[in-house]
Amino acid sequence: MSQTLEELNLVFCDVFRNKALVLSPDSNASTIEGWDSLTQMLLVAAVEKHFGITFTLNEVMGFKNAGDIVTTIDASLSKKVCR
Amino acid sequence: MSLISLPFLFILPFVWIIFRMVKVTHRWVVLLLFSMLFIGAERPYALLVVLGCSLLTFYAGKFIGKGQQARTLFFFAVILQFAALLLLKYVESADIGLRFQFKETGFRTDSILYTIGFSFYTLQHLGYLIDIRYGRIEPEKNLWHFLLYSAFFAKFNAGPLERAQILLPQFRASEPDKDDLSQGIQRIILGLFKKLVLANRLAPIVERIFSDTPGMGSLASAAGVIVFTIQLYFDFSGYCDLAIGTARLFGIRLTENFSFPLSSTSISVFWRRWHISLISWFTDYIYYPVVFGLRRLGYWAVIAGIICTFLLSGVWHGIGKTFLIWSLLHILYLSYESISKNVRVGWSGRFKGGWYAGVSVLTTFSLVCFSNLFFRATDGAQAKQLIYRLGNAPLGSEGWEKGFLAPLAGGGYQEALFNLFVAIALSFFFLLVEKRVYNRIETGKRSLLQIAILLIFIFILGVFNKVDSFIYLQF
Repeated sequence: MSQTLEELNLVFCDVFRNKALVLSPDSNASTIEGWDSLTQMLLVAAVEKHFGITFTLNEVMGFKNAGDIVTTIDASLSKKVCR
Repeated sequence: MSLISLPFLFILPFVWIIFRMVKVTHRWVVLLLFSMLFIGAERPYALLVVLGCSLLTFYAGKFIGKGQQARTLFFFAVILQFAALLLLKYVESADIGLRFQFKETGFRTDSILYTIGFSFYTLQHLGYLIDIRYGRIEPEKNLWHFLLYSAFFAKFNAGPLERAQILLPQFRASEPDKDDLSQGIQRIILGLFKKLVLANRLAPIVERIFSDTPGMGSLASAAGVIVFTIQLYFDFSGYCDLAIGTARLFGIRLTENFSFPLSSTSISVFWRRWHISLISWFTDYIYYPVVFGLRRLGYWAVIAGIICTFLLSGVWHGIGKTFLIWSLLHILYLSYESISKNVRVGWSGRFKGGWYAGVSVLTTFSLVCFSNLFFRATDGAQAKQLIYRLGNAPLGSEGWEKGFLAPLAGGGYQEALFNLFVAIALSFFFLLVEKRVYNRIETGKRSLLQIAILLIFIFILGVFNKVDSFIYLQF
């Protein structure tokens, strides 16, 4: 599990109040109970706060699974470092 | 023209033969010409409206894509689309001139300006322009393909609402295979069965319960409200089966609009399974932008998104007290579900053996039925009257026959009793086996027995009067 995925796992556990939750890049709304459009933006806000980054709406609408979120986080973090 | 009208069903095989004779890369021409005939046959002015709005959207999209005055042009095009929608849906061309009709139901289907399918069509165009404006898609280069995307006959009247990036590539070279043909025909037969046998047989029961029937008990009133939800489901999902099946004949795959919504375990699950294409439109273009903009507010952002989404959805269905109450009820249901989500997930883990799921399905179904009372009522007075009746004695003041059976079965005559029994028994039986029927079609199993049974039911028990009147055509 990559470092980003591990940290993302912690955010998921916190948002969905489930300490036993284990995230994989393929985890998506149908495999994680409670992940739907009602919780999607709560999750986005928690991820942004945890990693200190800001997503765009287009990026968020493109999230199909945890792997997509990890890729976007990594891209945002590397942009941040370059700046 | 309707997907179920005789002229349509008569012309369709000829169109299909011509379609197959033409070169694959030119087949879109056949589809476009037939779509124009489909729209313009009964109301030629509707064709002018559709062509005008499509041209506006196509060229606006092109310039927005190039970044030329993108913001101004985008707002101008969006406002024009909304203005056209308001004009066509809510304005009456009376002798005295144009005037708004903000009555309870809001629609003027007899108005000369009214164009069936226009509200679905406008949402598609708005989505297309928004996607270009925010860089999600490239504008379509071929005007004729765009016209076909806008006016494709199978989905024109009442959806499914299609996204340009999904439908447009399919028109460039549509080559139906054997499965498309077989599954398309089976979906059409299923759609006819749902509409002609189930929805049309349930319709008179609903009609009676929602009209002023004296002596009716609360049981009959509740049954009528439940039956309306089932009728609405069969009517609209039957229409969608016809649309999806017809498109499949030409190798075009439309979006599935229903996924067994009556067995949903929560209202949020219900909205992911009922009128999927419309709700996903509202989710992507209204709900997500609102909640994303306010996401720092946590649950309040979610509730603000739900309020905006359902108020707009209510207005889209019609302007009036009844649609407002319908919207408010769903805002209430979903807000509760959003706040209590984690608690409910915990409960579902604690109660094993399907009990929790069973109670959740019953609760969700009851809440949907109650909200649909306002969806169906012609005005606030009728909704109020029905709610009062729900508080009556179970069998009313006149006992089992006059307080329950007679209102449901149109006075209790033998023929009406037979209709009541057949409609209820077939509907519930079909709901039980529905998933299996769909699986058989979708897995490509050609079940001749299934087709034969459906056809026999259609010919023996089909109700062929008012065949064109799908409930959702008014939206």
